[in-house]
Amino acid sequence: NLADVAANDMKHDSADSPGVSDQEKEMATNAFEAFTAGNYDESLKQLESLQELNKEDYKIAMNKAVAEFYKTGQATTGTLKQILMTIKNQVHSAVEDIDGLDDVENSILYYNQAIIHYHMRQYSEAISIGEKLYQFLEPFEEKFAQAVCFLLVDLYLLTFQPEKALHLLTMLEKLSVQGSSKNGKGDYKVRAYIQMKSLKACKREIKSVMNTAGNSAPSLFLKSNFEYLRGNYRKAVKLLNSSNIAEHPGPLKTGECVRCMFWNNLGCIHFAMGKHNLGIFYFKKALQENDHTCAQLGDAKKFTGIPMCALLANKRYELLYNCGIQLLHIGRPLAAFECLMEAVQVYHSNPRLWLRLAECCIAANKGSSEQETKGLPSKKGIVQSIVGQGYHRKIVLASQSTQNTTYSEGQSAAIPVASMEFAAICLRNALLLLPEHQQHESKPDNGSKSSSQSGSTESGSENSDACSGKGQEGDKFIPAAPSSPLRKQEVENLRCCILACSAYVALALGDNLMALNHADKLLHQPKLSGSLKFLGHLYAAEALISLDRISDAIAHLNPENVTDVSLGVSPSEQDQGSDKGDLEPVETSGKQTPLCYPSTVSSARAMMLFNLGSAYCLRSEYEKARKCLHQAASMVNPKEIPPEAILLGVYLELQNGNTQLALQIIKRNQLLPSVKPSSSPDLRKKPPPFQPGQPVQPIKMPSSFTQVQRK
Amino acid sequence: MTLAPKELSNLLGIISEDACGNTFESLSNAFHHCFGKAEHFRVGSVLVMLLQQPDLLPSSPQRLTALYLLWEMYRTEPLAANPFAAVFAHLLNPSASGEEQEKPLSGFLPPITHPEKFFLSQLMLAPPRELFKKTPRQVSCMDVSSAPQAVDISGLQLALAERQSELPTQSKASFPSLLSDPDPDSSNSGFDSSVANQIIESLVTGPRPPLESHFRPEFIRPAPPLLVCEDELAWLNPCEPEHRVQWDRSMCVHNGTGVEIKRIMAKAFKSPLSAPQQTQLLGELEKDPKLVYHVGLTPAKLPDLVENNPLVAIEILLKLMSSSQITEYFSVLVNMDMSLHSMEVVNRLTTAVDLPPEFIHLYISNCISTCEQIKDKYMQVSVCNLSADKKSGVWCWYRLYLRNPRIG
Repeated sequence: NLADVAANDMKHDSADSPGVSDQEKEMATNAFEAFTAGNYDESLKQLESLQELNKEDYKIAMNKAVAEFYKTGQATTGTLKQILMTIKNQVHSAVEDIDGLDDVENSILYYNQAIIHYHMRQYSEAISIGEKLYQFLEPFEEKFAQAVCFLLVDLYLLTFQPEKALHLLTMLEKLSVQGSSKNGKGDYKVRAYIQMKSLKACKREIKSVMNTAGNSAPSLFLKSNFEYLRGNYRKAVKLLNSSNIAEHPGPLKTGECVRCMFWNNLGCIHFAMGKHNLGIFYFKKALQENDHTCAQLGDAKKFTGIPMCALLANKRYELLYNCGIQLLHIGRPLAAFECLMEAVQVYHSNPRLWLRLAECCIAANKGSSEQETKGLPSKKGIVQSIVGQGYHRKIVLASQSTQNTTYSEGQSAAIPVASMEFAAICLRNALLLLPEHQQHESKPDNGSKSSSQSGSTESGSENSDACSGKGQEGDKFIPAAPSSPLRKQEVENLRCCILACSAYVALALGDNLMALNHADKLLHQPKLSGSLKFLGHLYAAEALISLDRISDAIAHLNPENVTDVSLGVSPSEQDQGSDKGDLEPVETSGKQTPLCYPSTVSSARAMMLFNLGSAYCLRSEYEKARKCLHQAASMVNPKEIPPEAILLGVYLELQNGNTQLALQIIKRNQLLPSVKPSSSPDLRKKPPPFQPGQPVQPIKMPSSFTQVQRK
Repeated sequence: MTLAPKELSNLLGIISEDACGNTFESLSNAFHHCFGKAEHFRVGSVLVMLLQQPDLLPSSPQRLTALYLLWEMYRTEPLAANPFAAVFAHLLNPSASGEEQEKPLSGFLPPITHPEKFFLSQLMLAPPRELFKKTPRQVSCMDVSSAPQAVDISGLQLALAERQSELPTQSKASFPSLLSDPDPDSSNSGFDSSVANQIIESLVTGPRPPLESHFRPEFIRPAPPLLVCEDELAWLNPCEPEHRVQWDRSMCVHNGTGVEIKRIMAKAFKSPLSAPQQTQLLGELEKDPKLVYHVGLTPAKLPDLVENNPLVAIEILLKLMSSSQITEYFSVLVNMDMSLHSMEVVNRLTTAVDLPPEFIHLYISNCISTCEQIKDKYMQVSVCNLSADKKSGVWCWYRLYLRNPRIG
């Protein structure tokens, strides 16, 4: 309602003032009334006559521009922006100059500029204006003060700064003690708590939202979001379905395409449930819906021809991000790469997105990933080709390292193709975007602050520290748009993952020093998952081998270095800050943790032993190598013995002069044809502790095997 | 690509069975006619591979040609600098020829015949010129039983060991990745050079020929798993924001009052106002509670106003009480130079509103330190003035005490 929108009061309007004549005042009133009534032509007429009388007041020109803007159905955003810029340059040189109360007089001008920045997605510009205005809130009429605050709250939420948003909302509550308009505040709070992952506080707020506006699409979506975060996926789906999206007025009216949001959120839910095929189906539907909306809207880049609010309707980049992550998890890294490359142009300061891009490159260069997603070793052949026939027949062994080492020749690494070179660039970006390591003993006052932080924002001093830049609590979160900001523990997990990928990529590119550097850093991370610790040792050892430091490598390959292969940090250590508390999901449809290879401690230890065997080989300690090989082979299912291990067996036989046995191993593609310890399901359980001193279990060999043993 | 097909056929021509009737000298000429210095290493690699695969190079004269060329290519350099010197050392090593015959290491060089060994030994020493006037076929048939068997190659071995020690362990541990696997069911139906040449071609030509690959213990390198994290995907909520461009209602209403008041205020910062001016100013402020925010009083200007017009300052401060910036005004007030006026302003404020206790604390401690300074510095200043100052200070202090008994 436009009457609500009007800002500065007219109380200054006292009688005999020398500056403004009564005639002017009357025209101004008429113009405003015509504007409020939607009679823009009449309003403009009044303004024009007014302008002839009064050449001083820039506000006539601004209101003219505003009336013109409304006359076009708010579809000339670009023009309005230009006019406001010109006016502002006449009035003041820069926003930074707002430091006196004088500028209260220009508040509407600044506010309108902020509104336009907001709709053009120039959020930081909008925020800097909004924060200036916020400093002089008191002189404003209450409704205008609220409008400023809500704009800032929205901007903070859009830029994922939930703590600032919350602080402002508490300020707003005070402002409107007298006033009664409380609508919308609950929504905002829920959104802020969701971004902060404070589910307890969220639960409290969501109740009041559901009580006031339970059936509206926004509240149902919010509730669904909340249940989704708690892991109650079926409930989340139900809530989404109960929102009547067919009746929604549509993006041209509200600037939001609810249908697109609906499909997208269904995609999120199914992704979390591990139902990736459904996930991709829904994300594609959301993208189609979004394309349809954009086609209706035309070219939004020109900022004319469509209502201003609809400038924000396009959610393409959020959808592409989701799509890309989903495709990556479904094993289609190249398609994922394309989606994420487009998304990264908008979210270029999201470290996790850069990691995802690198993961796409790694998966795309890994060959058959299907095996590995099932927790099995990749099946690369050990024979590259067979040349000649009969008497001349020759076998060419496949070098695994050339399969592993991938150079994309003739292309600049800066051109984004899913190569390992590009992965290296992505990972470097990701690392740079992470904050430096903080001290782990958090200072006592910091700790107390963070623990009481969720409920006590109002206890702080009343001055505007929400606007004074970064509060101490601010650095707890790392922005990761378009997702909620990352908490400290999430950042540390991310850092570990980036380092592991960096080491892997450096090895693949033959950059052994870098690989060693990354692997060392990885192993020094304070909270390292078992799986990544294992990989850290493996990568460090391989780099050291290539750097001709065999003994150092062997130290890394002690199987006792592997104690678990889980992906997460153990739940007891994880997130001290999260307040999930009693809010465990009521559904059992729990989240799926993907299997990775190796999936058990014993298979991981076996892998280490295989590599240890290779290292011994290089030192010509063939007996030790043989022991490692046999022990490792006894620990895994014969079908899971990796090609590198079989080739190690071939190597040892050749080294022993036993060409015939080597050829047999190659032809059967088996390490120890006769020894098959029945692979019991116990293999997946916790293995017996590894004892290094324990002699290798006697392995029954066929007579032909033992005969050829040297001496 | 190790060799182009054309280069390979040239090479195979030179070492063919048919060519073994030519003298070594003419073979050398033919070789240098076909290959420049830059190709020598690649050609040498092929020759070594052929020596390793006896089924592809079966006759002794051919092996002699190959050995000769390997030596000849680098004859102008010291022997140990020949990249293929290790081949010579291996073939001449007496201990190797003894044991390894029973268990030939795959990929290693099969042993050579006595005439071949004799010829090679000759190459290691200073070879007589007439040796190269012979043909490979002639040399292969020589009776060498009378010739001295062993040549001392320990010097060469030492040099080679030194050079090898500089190589990375991984390189030293490599085998050729080419394994002979003759089919036991097929009879060796005689050597067919065209079949052999075809095989050689597939081994040494084309991109990444098998000749170039090697075989060594390799590491298993599993790729890192995908990052696992919760709440990564972007969930979208409709929120129906209502942010709209607004009409400025202050258009043409900011009237003379505002201008006049600002003019009076500007004067108030510099000198005491006249009684009518003061009345007008306070009257307007009373009329419009929001006007106080438009009069242009920033915290920085407060001390000037306090000194010149304490009454106005008090009224304005009382009206600014609900402002978010009031603490800034207070901190300016506390930190400004002590004077009767400032004390009076504080005093009046304490009677009107509840001031934060920390503010009063700070003010009193400022008060005391200022009084002491006055005592030290201005002993000579008229007692009257001093006592007036001190009296009012104490009085002010006392009043504060009475009202705020909490202050220790």
